[in-house]
Amino acid sequence: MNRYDCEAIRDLLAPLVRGEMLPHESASAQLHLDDCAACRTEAEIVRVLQESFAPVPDGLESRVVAAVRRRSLMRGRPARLALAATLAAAVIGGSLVFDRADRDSVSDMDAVSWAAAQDPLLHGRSALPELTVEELEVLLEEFDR
Amino acid sequence: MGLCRFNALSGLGIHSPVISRGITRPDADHARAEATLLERARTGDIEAREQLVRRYLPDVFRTAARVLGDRDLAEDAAQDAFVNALNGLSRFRGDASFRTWLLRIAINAARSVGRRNGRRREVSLVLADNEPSGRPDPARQAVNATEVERVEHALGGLPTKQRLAVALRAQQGLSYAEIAGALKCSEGAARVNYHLGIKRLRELLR
Repeated sequence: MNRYDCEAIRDLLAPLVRGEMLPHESASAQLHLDDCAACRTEAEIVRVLQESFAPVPDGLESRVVAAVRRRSLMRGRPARLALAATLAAAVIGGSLVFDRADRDSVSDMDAVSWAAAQDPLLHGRSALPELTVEELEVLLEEFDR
Repeated sequence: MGLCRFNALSGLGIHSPVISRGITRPDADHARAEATLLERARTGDIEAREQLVRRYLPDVFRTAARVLGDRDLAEDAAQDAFVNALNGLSRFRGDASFRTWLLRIAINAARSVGRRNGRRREVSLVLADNEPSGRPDPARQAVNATEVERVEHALGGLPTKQRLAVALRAQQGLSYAEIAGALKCSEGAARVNYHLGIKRLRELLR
């Protein structure tokens, strides 16, 4: 049975604690957690976060459904043509923003890949959990740049 | 710190094995059914729209609550998000999943609601003060309330992107790619934000 290292385990904690991993993967993860206090601590944080899931308030679903239904019916009325035109303009503007965001995202990733390749400290995804907060912040700045 | 009592996976039920190494393997039938539902919703089918609300309301509400730190405002934001998304379905191009696209709209709606209400600082979501009266949450009762509040408080102190990355992954089970779509950042940045958030939580809870 393969044993996970800290890097692999920490990336898997959320699906692991949610019970969404295959049984043999869970068993391998268990082997690591039995021996690693740091990963157990992080697993506990993830577990507590999942336990504190905010419940959806009573009545919210019917409120939202009613609003969606009202708005959907309004859209078919001729008196709403002006609003529809405004929405169309917003949609076009929104699409442009999304397009730009997509392009930014790609170039952002390229920049970070380059930065990671240049800097042994930040080299490779497998090193992430081993970095300090300061080092992670440096890496994040590269992503945000 | 009390958080180290975790006996790994004991007591955690193994459900449908749909995830391996943290990567969701979407069920083909589910994907087809969702595509059909979205197409119906796009053409104005009200019943289809209502189904989408029921399916995604928990994710949308919890994400808005994480941004705003206020359940009442999060309800407003959730409503705005669904109205905006379902009336702008033509903008959804299928590059990302519908959930990712919807969560991005929910985050924007939450920020708008926050601005309208003059909330300059995003705060923690302390569930203990806000649970619906007379309906105790069984999951919540299963853990030590003090631990939950400590973690919630610490989470509320993180920068927004780190808080959302941790909440979206740990609580809502999103992949890094989905988080990247929701936060409008690269997948690498989503990953770093998550790890940084978890690291800071560990420090805060030490």
